[in-house]
Amino acid sequence: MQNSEFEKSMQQRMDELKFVPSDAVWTKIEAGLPEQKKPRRWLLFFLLFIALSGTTLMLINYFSPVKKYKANSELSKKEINANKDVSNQMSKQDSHIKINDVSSNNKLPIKDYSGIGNKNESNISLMNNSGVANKPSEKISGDLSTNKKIKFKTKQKVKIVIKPSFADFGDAVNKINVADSNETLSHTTVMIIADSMIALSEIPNNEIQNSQSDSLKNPLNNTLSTLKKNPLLNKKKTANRQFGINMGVGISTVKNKLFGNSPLYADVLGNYSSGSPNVQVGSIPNSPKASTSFNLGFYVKNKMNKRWIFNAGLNYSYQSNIIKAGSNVDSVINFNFAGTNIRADQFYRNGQSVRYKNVFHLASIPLLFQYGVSKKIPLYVEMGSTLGYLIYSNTLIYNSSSNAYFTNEGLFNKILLTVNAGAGIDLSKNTKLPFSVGYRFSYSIGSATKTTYSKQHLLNSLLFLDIPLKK
Amino acid sequence: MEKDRELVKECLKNNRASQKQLYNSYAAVMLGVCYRYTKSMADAEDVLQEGFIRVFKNLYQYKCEGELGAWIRRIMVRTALNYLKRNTKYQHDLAFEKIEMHPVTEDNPEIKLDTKELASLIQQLPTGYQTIFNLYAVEGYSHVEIGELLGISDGTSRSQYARARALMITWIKKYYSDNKMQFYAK
Repeated sequence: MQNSEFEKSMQQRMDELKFVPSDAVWTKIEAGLPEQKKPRRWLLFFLLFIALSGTTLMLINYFSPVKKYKANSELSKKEINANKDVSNQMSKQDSHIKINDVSSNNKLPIKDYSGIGNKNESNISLMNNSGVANKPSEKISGDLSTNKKIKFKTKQKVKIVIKPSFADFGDAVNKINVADSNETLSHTTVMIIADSMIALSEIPNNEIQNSQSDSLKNPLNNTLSTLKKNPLLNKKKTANRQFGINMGVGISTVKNKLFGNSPLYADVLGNYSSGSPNVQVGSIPNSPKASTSFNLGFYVKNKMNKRWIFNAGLNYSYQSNIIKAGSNVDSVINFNFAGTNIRADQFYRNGQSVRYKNVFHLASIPLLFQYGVSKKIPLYVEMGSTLGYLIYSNTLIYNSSSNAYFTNEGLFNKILLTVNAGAGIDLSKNTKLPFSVGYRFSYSIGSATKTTYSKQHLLNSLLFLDIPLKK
Repeated sequence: MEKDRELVKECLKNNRASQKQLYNSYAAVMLGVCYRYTKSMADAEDVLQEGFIRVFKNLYQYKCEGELGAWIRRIMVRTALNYLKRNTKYQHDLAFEKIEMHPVTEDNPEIKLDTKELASLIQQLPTGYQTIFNLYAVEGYSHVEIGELLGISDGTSRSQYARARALMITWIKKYYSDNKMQFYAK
């Protein structure tokens, strides 16, 4: 029968049937095809990681009071090579170059740049490597991080030139002032750098010249030994910065707004253009159930003062919630949603038969301020904000006109600002349990989904654990 | 064939220009296929769009052993069937009822209608008849294959086809007589 004349003729005729499709068809097809030369996802993540790490480090450096420490260390390394010439330099000094053994001055105060120590000594200047004098009448210029000469004037108007590369001594660096050979000096200034400390001492020359102390024969050795004996220098410093890893486990959900029970899915009418899910109208799940959340990352804590700590870091965060939808239809659907043409490769009918987990993967930079409630109890409260980047989400959005749930990458806001509040107990001083534990609540100020389609603020409630990597 | 192979190769690299070229080569014919299964040009274009997206997504499965056009056509037919099944407008007519076996008429009229007029007559068949008529008379599927595609028995397919064929012949004759055209019945 199939090969009868009628069928043959029908086949032949229908093979000739042709219509020219409208231009809109190709446009829609193109929209449904993968983007050309789509950047590889791992590369995107890598670049994001670099950017977030860079930002974090910048923030840490910005808030850090120990900006120049590294520069001093580098200076020390540079000067080690010059150390070999110290003894030769010493022997070749002319009469105008005066060396003062600071060890002979028992009251020599040693100060560090962070301000610990007595700042009221009249004959001591403090400086860091950006050049800061402690009195208006003193001028210091130059940069200790280079090997350039540094000039400064004391209140006695004695011009002194310091050669940073002149001396180095073990792990300490001692700088000896060299007077201008054309001037008669009333004082000799000794600059001592040891570890992170710098001290300048001005001693009348007659005292030095009258001194027959053996220490003058080897002033550098004595200076160093003095420094090492100095209780201020030897005092164990309290670490101002703490690095560590942090993790948290909890539950998360999404809400239309923080307080109240407004429907989660915006009832935005769209114009259905093609495809029909053919669904029974049922109840719309406006109350997603909370589901698991966790985060993992690293943190840096900077102690700002006795009470305040600034906590920054880089985290990966997973948040989820559960809704019920109808059956899945593995078919392309196109429709107009709030003025935008939406296309989804598959969709879920309206209904309650399928349990669906909406997940959010985020990279975030938390910026938190922690306040120690009491000096006796290691309890602190914290608040701050988190800048997040939504890496991926499969969250379903409901469209009332097509009666279907669908998801599409274009539905989400990539940047999310979250506010955080919480409390914790800092046990980092505890040798057995050097952790910090607590509770943290976060709420995204902006909606994770574009508000045209749905308004979904992320709520996350978790217990966290901070583990310092180095106490 | 070699030309198609090269085109497919480029399309698999997601080369948009090649994809457009492939689309331009087959879109007109495939829209004709889609048109026969639906009731309007708008629906036919929807099927065409969906079908081509499937073509590009599944192009890696094409082994270059048969004609590319035939492979695309099979996808279009299946896409059209899915479209009919899920679209409320067509669903009711696709509910195949068991009907008594209708003898296939021996009438084999010579078809001298214009291709598009003939396609319009096919479109006017009830969706169930239209689908089976297309699958059997035009695509050349057997009743067993049609039964598997539509989830019906091959007997139902035969009965539906017999009715569809009879209707088509009646309409063709009537069309000829209304338009005062010459019509030669065998």
